[in-house]
Amino acid sequence: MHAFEYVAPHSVDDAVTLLQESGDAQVLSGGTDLIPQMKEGRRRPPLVVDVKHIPELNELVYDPVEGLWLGAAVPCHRIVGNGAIARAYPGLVEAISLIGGIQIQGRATVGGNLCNASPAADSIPALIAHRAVCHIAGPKGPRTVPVEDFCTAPGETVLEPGELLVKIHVPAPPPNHGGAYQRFIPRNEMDIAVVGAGAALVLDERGQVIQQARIALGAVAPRPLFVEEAGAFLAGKPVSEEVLEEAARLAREAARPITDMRGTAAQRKHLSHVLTRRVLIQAVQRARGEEAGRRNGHV
Amino acid sequence: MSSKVMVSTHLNGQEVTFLCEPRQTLLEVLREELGLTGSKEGCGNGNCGACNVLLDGVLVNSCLVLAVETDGRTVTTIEGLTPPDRLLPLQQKFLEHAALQCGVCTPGFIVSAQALLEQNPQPTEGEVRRWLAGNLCRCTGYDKIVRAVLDTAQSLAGDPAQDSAKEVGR
Amino acid sequence: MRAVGSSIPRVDAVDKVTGLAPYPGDIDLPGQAWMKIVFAGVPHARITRLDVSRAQAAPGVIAVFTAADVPVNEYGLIMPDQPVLCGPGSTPQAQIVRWEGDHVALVVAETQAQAEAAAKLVAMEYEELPVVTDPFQALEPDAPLLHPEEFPFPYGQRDRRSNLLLAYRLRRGDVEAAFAQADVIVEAEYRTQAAEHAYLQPEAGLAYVREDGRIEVIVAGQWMHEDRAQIAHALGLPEEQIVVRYPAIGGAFGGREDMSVQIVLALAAWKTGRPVKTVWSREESIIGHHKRHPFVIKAKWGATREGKIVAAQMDVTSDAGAYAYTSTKVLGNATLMCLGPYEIPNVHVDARTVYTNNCPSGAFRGFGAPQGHFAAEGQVNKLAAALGMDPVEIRRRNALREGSILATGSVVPAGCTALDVLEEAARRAAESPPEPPVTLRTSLDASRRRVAQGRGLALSFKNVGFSLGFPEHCHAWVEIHGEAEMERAVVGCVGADVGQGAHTVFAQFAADALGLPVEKVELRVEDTDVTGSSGSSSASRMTFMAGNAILGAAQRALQAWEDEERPARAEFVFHPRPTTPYDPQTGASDPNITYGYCAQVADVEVDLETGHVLVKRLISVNDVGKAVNPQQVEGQIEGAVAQSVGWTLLENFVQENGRAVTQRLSTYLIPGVADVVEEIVPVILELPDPQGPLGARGMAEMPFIPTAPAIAAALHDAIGVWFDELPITPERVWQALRERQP
Repeated sequence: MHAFEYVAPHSVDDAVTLLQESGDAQVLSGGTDLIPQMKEGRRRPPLVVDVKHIPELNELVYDPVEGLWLGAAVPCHRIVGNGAIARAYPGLVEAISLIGGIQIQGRATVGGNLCNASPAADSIPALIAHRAVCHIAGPKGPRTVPVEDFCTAPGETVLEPGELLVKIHVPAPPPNHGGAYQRFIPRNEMDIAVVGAGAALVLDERGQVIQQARIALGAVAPRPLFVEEAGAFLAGKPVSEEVLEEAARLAREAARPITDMRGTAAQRKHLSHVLTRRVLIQAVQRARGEEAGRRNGHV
Repeated sequence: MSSKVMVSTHLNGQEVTFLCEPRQTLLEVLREELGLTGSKEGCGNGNCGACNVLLDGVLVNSCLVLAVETDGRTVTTIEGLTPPDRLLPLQQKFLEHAALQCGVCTPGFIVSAQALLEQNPQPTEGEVRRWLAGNLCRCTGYDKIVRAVLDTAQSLAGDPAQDSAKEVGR
Repeated sequence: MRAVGSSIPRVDAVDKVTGLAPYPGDIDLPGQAWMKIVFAGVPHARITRLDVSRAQAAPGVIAVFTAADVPVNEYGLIMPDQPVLCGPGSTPQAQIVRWEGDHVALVVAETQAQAEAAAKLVAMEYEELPVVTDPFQALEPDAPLLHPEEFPFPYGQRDRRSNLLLAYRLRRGDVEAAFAQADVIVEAEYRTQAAEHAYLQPEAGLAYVREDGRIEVIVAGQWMHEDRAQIAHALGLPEEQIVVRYPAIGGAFGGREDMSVQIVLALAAWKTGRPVKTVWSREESIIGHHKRHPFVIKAKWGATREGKIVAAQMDVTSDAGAYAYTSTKVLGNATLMCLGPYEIPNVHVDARTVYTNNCPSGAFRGFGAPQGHFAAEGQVNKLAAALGMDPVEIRRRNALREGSILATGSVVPAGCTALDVLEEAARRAAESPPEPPVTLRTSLDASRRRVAQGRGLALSFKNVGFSLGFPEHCHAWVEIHGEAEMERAVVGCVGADVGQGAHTVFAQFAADALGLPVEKVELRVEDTDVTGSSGSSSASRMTFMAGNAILGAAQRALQAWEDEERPARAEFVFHPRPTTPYDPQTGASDPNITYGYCAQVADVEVDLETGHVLVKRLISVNDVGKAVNPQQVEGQIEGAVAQSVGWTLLENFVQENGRAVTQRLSTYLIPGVADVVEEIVPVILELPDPQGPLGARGMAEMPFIPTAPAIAAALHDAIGVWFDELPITPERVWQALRERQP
């Protein structure tokens, strides 16, 4: 690794000042993306700003009315290990639980997953489906950005020089809400998604009509892809295989994948369809209370 | 070259102070500066788990932690997990089940599995496999490792008051 | 209880579970310097100038070495076709880079960081040469030539105007006449990929000049005397001037059979007078050592209605990569193994291995047998399907048995148990319910709906020990201490314990022969000074060879003990029965000392929407002759199957235009704990090999071999598609499913 300076500020203001003064600084949260990137020479920041000592970034609060406040430096294991959050947002938590193995979970953060802006990031489609919003601090004051607008290109975000992602807000799940995330990888665990699909929806009281729905895909576009039209199509429709199938088809239409080492464009298109259908089915089951948040590997 | 930083860490039960550059990983400092070579570098980018240690009790890849980040924190390595005069029940079960061959991945598996058992003393096989999914082994095919962990859990449950570890000449 | 046959823990287990076992990278020497090896980074080029002045002037740099510093700038396990360092100032052939992993310079500095920083300052000027990466294109007349130079070639004349490294042929009977008589003929083309060993310990080592003036190299290899010979050759020194020491070795699987850091460490230590250490990163390891051979095998087999295989015609091509390594030996194996463990009266095999600018290919568990069997067993399974015959029954009618004549014209060595492992596998499979309980393990399981299940079988054989006339031997000595009673024994035998447990087996054989508890046997296994060569830890040979050597030495030592020598010491050099090379025209030979046999049954489940394949159960029946340590034998079976499932379904070393693409464990995917077979059933048969020590035969490669064809057959059973190309990725399965649909 190249030589760099390291600072660990204790306040958002100090962090913003440091980031502003050194235009090329990198924020260190869990480091599970940044450190390998620095080892490979893909990033060579002169200054690394460790944000784990800033209280706001370590906040993890769930309230059934207010929703979830997720500090940008909260490691995944704290979220996955929180029963109330897992019950409220099973689809989001299962996406977060797929970010690496247990030892990665001990370090990696959802904030980092967002800021690394990989098109294949597991948490982002689920965050988009759950209407999450980024809360950003910066030299010009705070601002908010919906997660679907946060990433702009592979490795790039809306963050301006000096800006810092402080926390993420996820609205409280309304009654009859269900969410799910699935990804396809050649292995059974531990890999980067060939395609990821996240969905969240709200059913009517009888569990028969979809009132609202949001669908997002990973690894099928230069940035995590919000398939707004698929969710819009579902709104107001009764739950049926045909309707879910049509939404899955719309997701497939929206996907604009490339061929690379992990998969071909044709396979990714196809998987967009399959996974969208599967997560919609699972989200419906959860909204109906038919499936009790069974998580990956927990039989 | 950036200047070196003084770091004080509670390492394996002792206060340790060392000088390091910010660019040095915890793994590098453990192996090269502190002589703790039980943690192995199998990949250097968090894919194999051979360098796993506990940081404030949480399982991490030491190759993905900067040594400067450990200032004021607690680090436990395979050397610190191993009792001074005997083996952990888990280590003993690895022996009994032949859950190791070349042995490079073994310290990482021991650290990981020990962390699992401390948090979840009676894991299911699915939980063991999920927990160990970030540790790669190229020799054993994993089955004997999973059996060793499950058998450790069972034996500790059967006789919680007493360590099942035998005295082994070290 | 007798020592042989008991599942005692490994002799190194306590050190390994505590992290105390020292691997080369864990060892430091006082005053050591660090070395960084500069790789060429281009697959084919003529180096016109190598400017090391900036590197030499960099902070902490002690020395920079280039081709001009290598006394005899060539090496190679079978033939010296590779420069130690490429660049000007040495031989004409050293000016050419043929592989991106060729070494061009060695930077020795006070610290690792300084060596790495200075290595980046080595400036290489070069003319690019055309790159050839396909073995068939490499055989075209206008292909760029990899090795027009002359070097000692151990197989007679080599055509220096061709990239053909070596060709073999087998001729028996009349295949054309037999095809005309056959009731059914199946033809297919099988393709296998390059694969990476991915042992968990990347290459590392140290070298220093000892007080006695000799150079000691501490490294992880598979054959310390061969390492010593190659180091001595390159340095132009007598072998006695070199000591090779193996500490703990972090896996090998064939990947450490050729030189990596050995020669250059010795050179750097010798030239600087300093202890020198080097440790490769994972990326350097993946770029810098050889791979499993990619093969293309065109097959045409015929059988009668009764299921008797009457003819096999095979055209076999392997990609040797840039240098020979063990390609000729792997080809020798594949030439025979592509026929499977069957007695076939009419055989026509043409096999060749070809230089390209790819990463060199070489030894990897199975050594040509997995590729050969993927074709052979694919053919047998297709014949069975074409005939509507049970896959066990067709094998019953054709498998080698005592007295069978191989395609080489020689009788299969006594102790042929192909039918025994086959029948046991069939019996175990019949006992096992076809549908094991479903366990949910992956993120896709929750709503996985449309699946198909299938079962497949394959049978295999594999030689134990070196083949085709290679001189085989193994040294050992035994020393018995005590006065009236035996108190303890010391065993000297320097076979490498690469993780497979060889040293534990050595102690068990000695304890068994002497009637001592294993704890009373001290091992001397550490370096080339202990005793003569053991040969390589490869070819499933170490238990067989060292076992015989140790038993021989123990018997002599017992005689000396009877004769009241104290300590009673004896040496023994085991020489197995000789083998002979292929006849260049017909392939006639007595190719191998003996064989091990394995049969497997695979149960798979296919996700019909995604093409994802799960191996639900794999029954592996292995005749090991005598299980010296049954638990360790199981470990070999389970480990081999896991590796082979990876090779079959997942692993692919991708190169583009001579450059490695999959350089990390994040892109070169090996199976994790969730990817291996859900239920592996290792079955051990103990049908003695008449030549084996206490009947033991080699076994470590054998369970790798039938896995791929068994899984391919299971997939055919599940979805009706034959997969003839590895790896059988979800994408390939999905494509096949799509094409299958109307």
